Amino acid sequence: MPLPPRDFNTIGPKEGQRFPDVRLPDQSGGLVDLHEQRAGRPALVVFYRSAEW
Amino acid sequence: MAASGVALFAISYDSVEVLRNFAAAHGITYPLLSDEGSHVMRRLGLINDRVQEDHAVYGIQPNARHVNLPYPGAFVLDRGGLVNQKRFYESYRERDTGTGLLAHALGVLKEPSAPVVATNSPVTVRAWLDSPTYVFFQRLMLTVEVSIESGFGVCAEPSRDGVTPLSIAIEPLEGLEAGTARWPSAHRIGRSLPSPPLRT
Repeated sequence: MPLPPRDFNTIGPKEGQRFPDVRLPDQSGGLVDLHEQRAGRPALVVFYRSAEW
Repeated sequence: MAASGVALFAISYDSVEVLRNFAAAHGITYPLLSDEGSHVMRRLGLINDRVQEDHAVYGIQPNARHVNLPYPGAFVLDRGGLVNQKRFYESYRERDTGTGLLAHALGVLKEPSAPVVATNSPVTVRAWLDSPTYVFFQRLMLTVEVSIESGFGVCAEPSRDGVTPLSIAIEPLEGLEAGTARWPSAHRIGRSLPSPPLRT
């Protein structure tokens, strides 16, 4: 039997909440601060499993 | 997306090196953020600790790559950085918005390949998948377009003798799970069907 689905409202940052600060290197190796890079624009932040598979 | 004034970010546990190669291979210019070790994703509460269990249900062998994985999905942020919308799904359970469709909407994937066409007068069928590439667990949409020569009718219900309703059969393929077809709603064409009825 497949496991019951998760309630994604309870998982991760919630709607209406400020998206947490994220500072990570990108493909150029340079450090990117997400909100700073966003520069006041709306944004789409995608989580995917891997670029390798 | 840059033209529409929306910033785009993608985050995974891949190393900078893997992302550099991937970006170059696909012409990706938006930031692919490297969360090696999945520390940020774990801090955000997005790690799916049930991946191995989920996979076991489907008879998938444990894989060293299947740990510290996030639930795949996306957040839409408004100008103030607040979460406006979130779209997520289980690794084993597909919804209409999957990684593949999202990637396609973001222009990462190429246009769907040319449709397969088959004609057996008076019927012509064109079929195509919505993506030329496939990623593990992705839901692909198969569109089947049926056109008939004028003078003939088609129906999806066995409402008349001698009439074979339209149906679509997917040949079983190991590992493939076929969903149910969505048919366009039926509507009267305003004239009775001519004879002879359409034969398959």
